[in-house]
Amino acid sequence: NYNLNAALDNFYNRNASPATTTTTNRKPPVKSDKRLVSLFKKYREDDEHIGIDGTLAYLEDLSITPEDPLALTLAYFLKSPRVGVFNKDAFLTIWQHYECYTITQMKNVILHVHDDILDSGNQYIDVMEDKPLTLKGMYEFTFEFLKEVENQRVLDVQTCIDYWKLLLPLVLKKVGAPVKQQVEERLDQWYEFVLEDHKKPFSFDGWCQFYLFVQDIIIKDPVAFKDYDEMQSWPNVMDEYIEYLRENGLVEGVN
Amino acid sequence: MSHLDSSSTRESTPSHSTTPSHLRSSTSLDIDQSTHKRKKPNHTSSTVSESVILQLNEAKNSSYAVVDIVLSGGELAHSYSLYYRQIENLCRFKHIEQSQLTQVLYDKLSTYFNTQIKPEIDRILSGENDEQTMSEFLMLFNQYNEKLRILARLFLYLDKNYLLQHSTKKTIIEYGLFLFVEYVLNNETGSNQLSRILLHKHDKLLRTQRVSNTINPVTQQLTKLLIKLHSTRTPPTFEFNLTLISKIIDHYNELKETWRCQPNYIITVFHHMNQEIGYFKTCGKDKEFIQMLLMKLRWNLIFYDFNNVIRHELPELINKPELKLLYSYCKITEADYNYDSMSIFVYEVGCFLMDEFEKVIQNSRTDGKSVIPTLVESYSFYTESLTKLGESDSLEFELRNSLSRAVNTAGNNTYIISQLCKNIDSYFKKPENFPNFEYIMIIFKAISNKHEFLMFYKKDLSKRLLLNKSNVKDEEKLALEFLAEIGESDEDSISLKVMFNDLQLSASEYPQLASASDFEFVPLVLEKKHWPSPLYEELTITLPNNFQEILDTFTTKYCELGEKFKSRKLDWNNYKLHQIIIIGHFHEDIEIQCNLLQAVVIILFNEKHNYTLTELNQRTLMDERLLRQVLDTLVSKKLVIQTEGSFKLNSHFTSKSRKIKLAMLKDKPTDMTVTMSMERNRQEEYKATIVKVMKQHEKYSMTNLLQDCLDLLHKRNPTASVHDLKACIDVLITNEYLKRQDQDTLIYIA
Repeated sequence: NYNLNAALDNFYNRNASPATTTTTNRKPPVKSDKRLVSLFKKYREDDEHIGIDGTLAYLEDLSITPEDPLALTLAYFLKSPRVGVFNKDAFLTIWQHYECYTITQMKNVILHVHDDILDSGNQYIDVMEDKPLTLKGMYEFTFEFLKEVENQRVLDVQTCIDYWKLLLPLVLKKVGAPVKQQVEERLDQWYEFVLEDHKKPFSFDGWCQFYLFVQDIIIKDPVAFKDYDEMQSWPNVMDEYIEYLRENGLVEGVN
Repeated sequence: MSHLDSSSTRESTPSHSTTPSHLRSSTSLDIDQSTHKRKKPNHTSSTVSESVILQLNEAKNSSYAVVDIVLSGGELAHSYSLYYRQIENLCRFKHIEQSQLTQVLYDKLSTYFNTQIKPEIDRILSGENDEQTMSEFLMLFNQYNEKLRILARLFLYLDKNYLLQHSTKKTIIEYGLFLFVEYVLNNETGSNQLSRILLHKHDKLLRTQRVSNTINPVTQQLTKLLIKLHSTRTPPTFEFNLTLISKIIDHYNELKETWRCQPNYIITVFHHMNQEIGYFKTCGKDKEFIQMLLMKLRWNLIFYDFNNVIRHELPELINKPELKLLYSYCKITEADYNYDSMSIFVYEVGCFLMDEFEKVIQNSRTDGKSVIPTLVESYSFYTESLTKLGESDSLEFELRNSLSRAVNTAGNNTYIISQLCKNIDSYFKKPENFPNFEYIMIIFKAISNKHEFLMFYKKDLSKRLLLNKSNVKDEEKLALEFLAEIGESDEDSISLKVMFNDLQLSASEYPQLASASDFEFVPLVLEKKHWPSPLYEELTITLPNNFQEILDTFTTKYCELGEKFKSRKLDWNNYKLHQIIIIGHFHEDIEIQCNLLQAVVIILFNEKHNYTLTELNQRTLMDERLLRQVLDTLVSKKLVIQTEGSFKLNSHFTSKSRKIKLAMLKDKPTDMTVTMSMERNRQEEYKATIVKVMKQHEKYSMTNLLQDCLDLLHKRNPTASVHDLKACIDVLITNEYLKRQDQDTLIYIA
């Protein structure tokens, strides 16, 4: 399965004038360890990217299943532009930064990164943008990550639900037992609502706001949503969700 | 027997006792009195003779004895007058005799009371059966009272001349009652067991009476007695009344619980209040007590839980006279209890009416009856009911407001608007069915988003006007009514005016410009901007030469009318609205009323009897779908016969009336429903408002933005909700007109 167009694009991109290639004016490129380069070569699809096959192989070598949240952490950590793709630049720079040259080292770091994100330890940073890696960051990253075409503005409901189911348990890790159960129940109602009732795809704003909604409204008071107010800036879909709960007698006394 | 005797003698006593005094006063009072006065000192100064002492003792003994006789109920040994005179003599003999006599009387009375009456009272009051006990009690009192009366009569002289004059002494009756009251009622609120029993029994009897709803004579007598006894106390403590009132209220509080579960609560309450008050009035309670009782009853039965009572009762009361009474009570609660029940009343009336109107709307939606007349009917009905209460601006306002609220809810608004349009349409098509358009105005005034209504109204209006379906004068009248409501300067007002002005000018000024020789041509020149746009369709067709010429000539002449006419462009494209009457020559001549498009096709058959669809298409340049539509109207009237692939003029066409009217062409199928187009307009309006506010602020909090938008929109669109606005904001964010800076702050992206 050769894609001639893609190949040609890549060829020209690679050989384009230096003015267009040196878009990175941050740090002088660090010389990559040759072990890293050879790892990249093992998985590469073309000279600049690891493709879907390479990604699957890479994950297998790391013994991470694609459904594992660790796979998402890895994508976030390596700034994967979309599902099944890693950029060479990021791959080399980031691993070089953390001095990981072998699969074992990488697996080790990823586990640490994952735990750090959940603990809000802020130990690891986005090397290229010098920002700490956070759970919220990972959540927001996921939306971009899941886009299939460049100008896509929304994600379909089912995809959203799949990834909420992957991401939100991470958010809930720190939440205590009775509340956790109540929140989980609310989330199930949310999934049902967006799938059966709302049925509209989610914009980036809606996606991001839901994270806050979970944190500020649902986890704070999963029973009565005491901090919820229609006049607050929640996107419509959340107001409709509350309305939906109220109409179905699932919540009482929310103004 | 003794009773009868004493009463018979009593009848004779007044004449006996009064005669002497009459005589005295009528003859020579002065002399007589002076002799008495002179005599007295003589008596006292001289030593009293033995016979006098004897007489005195006899009188004393007899007077003292008669007390016992009366008290024991025995028969009097002498006549009243004899006793009276004896006592008078005794009293006049020496002043000290009066006080002695009084003392003896008091002692005897008190002994009698203590030994005879007290045990009886104790015995009676310990009885179980309330009614029986109380009637015994009443009887006991009556007997006692009767004895007091006899004594009072016999000792009238003492009463009148000594006891009454003495500020510290009680008259005989007073003293007797005093003993009674002291024993039975003293300290009634505290430790006195008897008074507690008595009052309790009284209360129980009153309760039974209230429940049975009939007046029991025993109860009534008892109440009267208690009132009487109570009034003997100086000063009468009001506590007695307070206890009574609070007991009455207690009972009503119990009763109201059961009444509340039954219909007509207020009416029941009024009935009972009336009875209660009437009862105490007849029993002789004073005004102060009555007013206090009434006030407390009103509070406890009506105003204590007024919100719920009124909410529950209004539907029953709305057209009953009791509502007026209730309303008048509401007026005084502010003064009586410092409680503003009026605003609650008004508010609840508003809610009730809104519900009623809502019901009317919902019902007509399901049963398909025309909602506007029904709604107006119900509105008038309630107007009448409320006017009966007297003039009240707040009620009037509430009435209008509740109609307005019902009409403007998101669910009803479009329905009402489309129904009102329909109604107006049928009004103008069959004006004889409707006496006036007052009812239209009632609903029109209630609609808040008048501009949205006017949008649809104008569309209908222009159709009616252009197709001559209604009387222009009447249309203008209604339009003027609308104008008066929305104000002259409103955008809609201006276009309405222009519309009628166009018609008028077209009728008066332009016909002389028309120069058709064999053809009557009535041009209408309408300003496009002000006429509803759906009337225009860009249609390209070829008109028959003579038609085209007429139009061209008119256009030229029109532009020559003057400077301002030059720049105007006449666009004749709205062919569907050109109405034409042509005469078809069949076996007989038949008048065909049709629009220009239909006429163009019909006229083609002058040249040839048979056309294929393609031929017609080429000749007319009409869009194929439109052409088919036109042909359908001709075929359906059998003017044209369709055979496979070709269309032929029906040369045998006949019509009884020699006149046919072709069906109008249907509007574009893309024509949206009222709801859809309104919805779209609104969303555009919301977005525009949001963008306007955001442009002004560049960076603004969501809460403020929502508030500002609601404020801006509310006048025109009462149905605008936070929900709608947020939906639009979401769209604007997704489409990157706005950006969320943080949780609550939005940024306008220029």
